[in-house]
Amino acid sequence: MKSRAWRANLDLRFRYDGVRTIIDRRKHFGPLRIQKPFYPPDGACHAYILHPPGGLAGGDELEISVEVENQASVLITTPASSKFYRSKGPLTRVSNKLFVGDDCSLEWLPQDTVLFGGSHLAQSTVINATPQSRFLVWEISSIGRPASGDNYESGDLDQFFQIYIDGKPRLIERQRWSAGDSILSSAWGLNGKTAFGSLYGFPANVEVLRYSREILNKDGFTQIAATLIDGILVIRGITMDAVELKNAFISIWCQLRRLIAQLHPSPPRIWAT
Amino acid sequence: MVTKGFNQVHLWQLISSALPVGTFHYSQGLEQAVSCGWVMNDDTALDWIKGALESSISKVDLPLIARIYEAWKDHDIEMVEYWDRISRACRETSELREEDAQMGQALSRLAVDLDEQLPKKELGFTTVFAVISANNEIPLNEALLGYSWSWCENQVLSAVKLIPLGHRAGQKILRKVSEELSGSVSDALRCEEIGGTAPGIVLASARHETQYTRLFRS
Repeated sequence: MKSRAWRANLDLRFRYDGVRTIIDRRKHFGPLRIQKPFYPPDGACHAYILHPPGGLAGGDELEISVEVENQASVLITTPASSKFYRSKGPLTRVSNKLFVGDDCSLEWLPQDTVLFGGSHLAQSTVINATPQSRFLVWEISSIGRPASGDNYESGDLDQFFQIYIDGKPRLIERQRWSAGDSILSSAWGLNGKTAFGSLYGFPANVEVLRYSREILNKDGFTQIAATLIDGILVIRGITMDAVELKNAFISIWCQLRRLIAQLHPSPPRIWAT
Repeated sequence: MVTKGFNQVHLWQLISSALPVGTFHYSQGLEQAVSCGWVMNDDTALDWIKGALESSISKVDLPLIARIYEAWKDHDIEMVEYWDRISRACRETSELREEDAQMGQALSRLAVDLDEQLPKKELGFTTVFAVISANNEIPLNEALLGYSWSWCENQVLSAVKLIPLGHRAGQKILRKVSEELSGSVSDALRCEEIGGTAPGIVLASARHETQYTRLFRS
């Protein structure tokens, strides 16, 4: 167990320099880093965010800010799941602020969040985009670790997700609950399933929606459904485990990437490990 | 009985299932829940309706109505429009957004016939409901209680039609869920941060958009 809380932040700005997307600004404080980016043939800059302590405990605070400007194309992911450990009381706070400018593309595809029993997490993700920007974002979370006997007997979550286009709210979602709440077990809630997540794509239209639904039907994902709200494709799923949801989202992402991000599919190698 | 300062019958008219805004077209995912067997009898219907009330209505609709009501009373049109945008942004599927928009248009048209003052912009149903409540000086807690009761009644009527259930069974569900309403209103009046979700209902609503045969628009 760590004896003190970590505070860390990472502030990144990307831009296209005429040849490729570069990291134009990189500031960090505390244990949060970005690895040297990769340039696969898809034309995007692939960057991995690292949090060397490996997991977060009560009182820890992470703040990440990403700005994608000047025709940049960026894919950001993480090399492993984010683990949130048991805490005696203080909240663990995570804040992600993502800005996507005109003619830019951001793919924010972190690996899943694991909520250990006894964790207290407040997580906020805010996307500020413009009508001429493109983004693909997902969030995948799992509750407890049933395979290791952790059935999330205590703990709570406040997960806040917002999308603003041109400064106006386009989608606001907030999930707040504590261990034992009926939302976890009831059909109207998570129905006893321990993984949930959403994938968001912008810009999208009815063609993209129809194609997404074809993929879901073809692959037999009945616990995952798509909708189109004011130009944003939203695909939400509730499954027994995070791996199932992650694999489904990777498959959907591979098939939608060309339509939404205007890039050829090129899954980061780290996802396969 | 007329309470000082407001005419209670105006609230009754606003929450009547005979109000011509098409409430009966919308099941908010219940039709899909019945079709895939998540809701199949009176107990599961009660659980579903209570879940939506607790996780969405009292955390999103009611606190929004409270803010819009106060903003309209203060003649702050900008805030009314701000909260109306938040209200739309909080609706998580295409069908739920359509429902609030279509019923908002219908209620606005009716309000004009009833000589109600309204903002000039097209607004969602919850917003127009708040504005009319404020116009008629319906006390806020009564307006919230009325809104949530009428929402529950519509859900029960949908369940009766879909499962199907007898009308007396429906009334028993309505009585039980009604017992939760004053708690929901108190929660809403204390609510500092808007936002809540019912993941199963949201999933059902998204799946309803492609349901093959259906009686309801949501």
